[in-house]
Amino acid sequence: MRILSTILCSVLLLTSIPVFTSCGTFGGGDKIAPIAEGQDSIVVNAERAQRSTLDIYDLVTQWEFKNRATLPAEVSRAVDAFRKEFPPAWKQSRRALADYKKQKGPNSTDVERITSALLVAQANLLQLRDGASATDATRAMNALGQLISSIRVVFNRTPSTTTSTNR
Amino acid sequence: MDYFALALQALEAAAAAADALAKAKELARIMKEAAQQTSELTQEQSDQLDAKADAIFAGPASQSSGR
Repeated sequence: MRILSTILCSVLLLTSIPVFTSCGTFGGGDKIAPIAEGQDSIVVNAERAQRSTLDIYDLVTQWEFKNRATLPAEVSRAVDAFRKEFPPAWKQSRRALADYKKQKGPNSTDVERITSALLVAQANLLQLRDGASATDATRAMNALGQLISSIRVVFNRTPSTTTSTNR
Repeated sequence: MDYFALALQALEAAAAAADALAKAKELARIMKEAAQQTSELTQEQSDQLDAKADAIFAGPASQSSGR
């Protein structure tokens, strides 16, 4: 149920509705804390997404690492793709946010787009871990591609940070 | 089916349920922590997040499975 709500939240984010302010509760009926007055909600939501995606990346890679012997190879390969592509994408999302805070380059729409893509990748990573099927692996790969292309769009439009996309 | 096989099956089902519960709890903890953030991270917290990411990305679970 919680996984479903995570996926639902991510889908909502794709439609530009901030996930951490629109989805009622998380585990045990805990409410989502309102963003403090005077704080930039774009930044807070981006940081929330960065923190949760990092933890979930850790959770999923640890899970694959510990259960490799019993998992289908296609699932390990899908997680491998995340191992290769997610760290630079996550770091670029951090860089984009830092640039946004300095009002240098990315605007609020850019940051929201990356935040949305991060959360969709996160939801699909979770589905991959729980479903562990070929369909889920494909879905996870598509979400990863979406995350990377969202980040590329932002950096390709931003001359001051273009060099950071070279991998 | 003998009693031993039945007991084993029940044990496996219980283990799977416990595992699923542990995963759900872990996920809830992660999402709750993020959802409780109300302000922008301080520079120190931001640096800590980046350091944590570096450690995760360099850890053994982040290396390719080679499959």
